[in-house]
Amino acid sequence: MRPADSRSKSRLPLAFSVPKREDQHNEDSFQRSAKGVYALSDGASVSFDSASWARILVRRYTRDPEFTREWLSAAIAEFRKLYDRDSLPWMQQASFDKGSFASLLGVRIADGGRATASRRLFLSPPPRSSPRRRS
Amino acid sequence: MAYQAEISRENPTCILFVIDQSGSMDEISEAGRSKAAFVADVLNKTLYTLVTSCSKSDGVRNYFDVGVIAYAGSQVRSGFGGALSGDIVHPIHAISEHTLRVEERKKKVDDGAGGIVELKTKFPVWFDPKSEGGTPMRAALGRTIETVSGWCEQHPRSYPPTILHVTDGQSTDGAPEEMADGLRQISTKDGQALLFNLHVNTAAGLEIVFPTAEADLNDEYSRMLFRMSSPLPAHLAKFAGDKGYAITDGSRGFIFNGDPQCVVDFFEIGTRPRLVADR
Repeated sequence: MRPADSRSKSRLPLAFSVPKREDQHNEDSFQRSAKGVYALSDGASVSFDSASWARILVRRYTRDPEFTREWLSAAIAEFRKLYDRDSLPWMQQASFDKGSFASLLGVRIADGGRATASRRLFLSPPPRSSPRRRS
Repeated sequence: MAYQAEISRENPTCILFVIDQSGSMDEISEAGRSKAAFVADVLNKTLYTLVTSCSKSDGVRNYFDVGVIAYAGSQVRSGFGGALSGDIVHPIHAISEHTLRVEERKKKVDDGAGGIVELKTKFPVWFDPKSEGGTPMRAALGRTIETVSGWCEQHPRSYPPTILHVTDGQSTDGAPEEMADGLRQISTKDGQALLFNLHVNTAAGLEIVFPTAEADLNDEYSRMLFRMSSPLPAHLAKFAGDKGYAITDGSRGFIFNGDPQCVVDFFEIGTRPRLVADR
């Protein structure tokens, strides 16, 4: 989309997010950086812990919007540190293995607002055993 | 239109398994296991999948009320043991907490980098195979009617109950067909209860899956189980079609002599009422 005028350089002033129902945990995340990088992630409720995964994705994208295989590996490693799979009770372990799903929409304002670059992805960390402790 | 209600914690649905544990279930099938062992295994896996579909990092959500009615000899009772044995139907949260035991099994999974790794995985067990005595199917369906009508009174807006009945033989306590007719007439505002029948049989005979007419079946008893079965509602017909089964208008939720994969699919299709609402 082409910017209409110079005001398009201004940052998004406010952002709001509400859960679908009052008693529900909000599993979506939004973050922006001072450099004009915006990230929005929609966590899928029917998955293990999409809220944490969505938070990791937007934080990492606004910090480093160069999306590569290494970028994704680092995000997955950060998510895995949150849980010790082998010590989870069976129902949580099964759900952990099924995955935590979130979409990621990333937008970069480049060239003084005359260009935007965006990425839309749907991501899940793959199940794998937690790293063994080294003695 | 029926079968449209969203499944949520306020409006859960009910899934009831009615399991024949009569003596003939100890017959060994071609795969070298007894029919009872196979049914117990599929039932454990089905419950595991149901609980997993409701589990998040902060706990198990009560999207389903689940019950098992087991019948054998002169007895009709809850198929669950221990703390769950008193009542037939329990919220899925309670079921997740009361297993007989948790075993450790190994499963192979994609490691996310093109390889396969073997993962130690905890596997819950609720049922051990049982097979003893006669086949009081009529009494079992009577108990099912009681359970389902009580549940529907308490959940008038919910997606109606689904009953998965597994049997290998002829009723030994009278004709079950009228009981099944009564059962299928119980309803919530969202539609009538669904009764699906699985006829496990080790005798020679072709596998018949989701048939549309009883003429397709060559034994009288199978024909009766066919008549006892609900037609597949549109969303389940589509799900079965997506799994590769030939489905036409009027296909009923009935399987005769299915191979193991087909039996697994019967349970999966029957326990997939709709996607849950609060996602």
